[in-house]
Amino acid sequence: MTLQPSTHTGWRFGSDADERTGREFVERGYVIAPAEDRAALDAIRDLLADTAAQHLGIVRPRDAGAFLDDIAAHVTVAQLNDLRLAIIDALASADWFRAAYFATARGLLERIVGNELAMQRSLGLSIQLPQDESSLLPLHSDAWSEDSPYEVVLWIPFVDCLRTKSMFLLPPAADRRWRERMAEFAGAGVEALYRAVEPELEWLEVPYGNVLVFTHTMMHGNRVNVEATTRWSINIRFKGLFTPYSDKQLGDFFDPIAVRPASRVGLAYRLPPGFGA
Amino acid sequence: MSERGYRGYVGSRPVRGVAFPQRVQNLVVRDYAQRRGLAYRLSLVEHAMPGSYMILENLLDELLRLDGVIFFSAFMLPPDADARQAVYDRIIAAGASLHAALENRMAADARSFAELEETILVAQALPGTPFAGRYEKDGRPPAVRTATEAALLHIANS
Repeated sequence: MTLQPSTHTGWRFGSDADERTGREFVERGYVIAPAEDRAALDAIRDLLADTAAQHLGIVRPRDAGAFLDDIAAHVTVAQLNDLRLAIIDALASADWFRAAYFATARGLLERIVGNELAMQRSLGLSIQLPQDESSLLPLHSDAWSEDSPYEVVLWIPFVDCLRTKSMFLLPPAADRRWRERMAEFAGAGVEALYRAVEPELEWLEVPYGNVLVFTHTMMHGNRVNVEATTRWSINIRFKGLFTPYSDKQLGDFFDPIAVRPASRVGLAYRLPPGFGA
Repeated sequence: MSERGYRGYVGSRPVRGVAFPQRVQNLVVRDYAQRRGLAYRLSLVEHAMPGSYMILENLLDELLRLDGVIFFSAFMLPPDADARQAVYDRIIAAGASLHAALENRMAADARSFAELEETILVAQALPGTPFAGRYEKDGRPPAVRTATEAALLHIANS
């Protein structure tokens, strides 16, 4: 029987989901998607709320989200850093935390980054009280300092984040344009650059239950939270295990979390010995 | 805090291509010990000669009188996997632990040494990956050394 070539033209390397996600990530610089493991997300939020309540010496209300939203009723800006350190310590001590964090976006990270992954060993925790001017992250790109542009950030809010309670990004097209002009601001400073790009910034709306993956090559940051409630978010970087690193290296800043069997075989393989030089 | 303590181990050769002054290495090791509450014992200094691990051998001989060792960096371990495994085995057999101050990590059992080993193996493989596993921030386009790198750049720019 002769096969008809016209009936064999439908195969593609990428799935529809791969292509849709890839296009969105490249065009917008980020993807927001529902958490893939809601139990993992809730477990992390419970740990945040439990630790905060314990640190502050209060009984944790049943509604963890509302408690975190209204944490400013229990803590001052001056007390905030101690609370932040207590929570970072609790997260670092929970042996399930890193796997749970990854589980919230495993498929999304595999589509955007790959299936052999390195994960940042530490974490970034943002607790941004309303009107607090001490927890700001000025406009920046992580690629301007120690990070590799091959990294992405998995940013997870533990309350509904929107407007100034969230973070801003400069979309890719504008980012490319302003990056070309950045040297014009060499004598003026970052705030002047912020004022220049401000009309083009996008404030991300990420309700609880969703995750955000973005490329930190785009200019981003936050401003004073002028909403009524507190922002709680965690950020951790991921990258392809075998993609180029910058000064944040494998072993100190990143650890392998997914090494596929063929790579293990290759890493362990030695050519036959005994052939001289 | 134990009486036996943790012996520091610093070097005279570059670590992952960076030459850290011994004074800086000692500062990092002492700071690590202090933060972890480990009793620090004066560091031994490995030779500058490439491939010499004679000081490490002395340190391993001392293990039964120590709680563990604090390397300035885990990447000061021998480059050969079998030689590293021999170090891990001796530390486990002595009931001691290996700490790496620069990487802020420790290993004391087969599982944690396996995790450390996997990290070292991947790091050793990176120079053989596209762009030598390194993103340089010198303002120049990435150096193209291989046909694979040329093909990848072509895809990225198309």
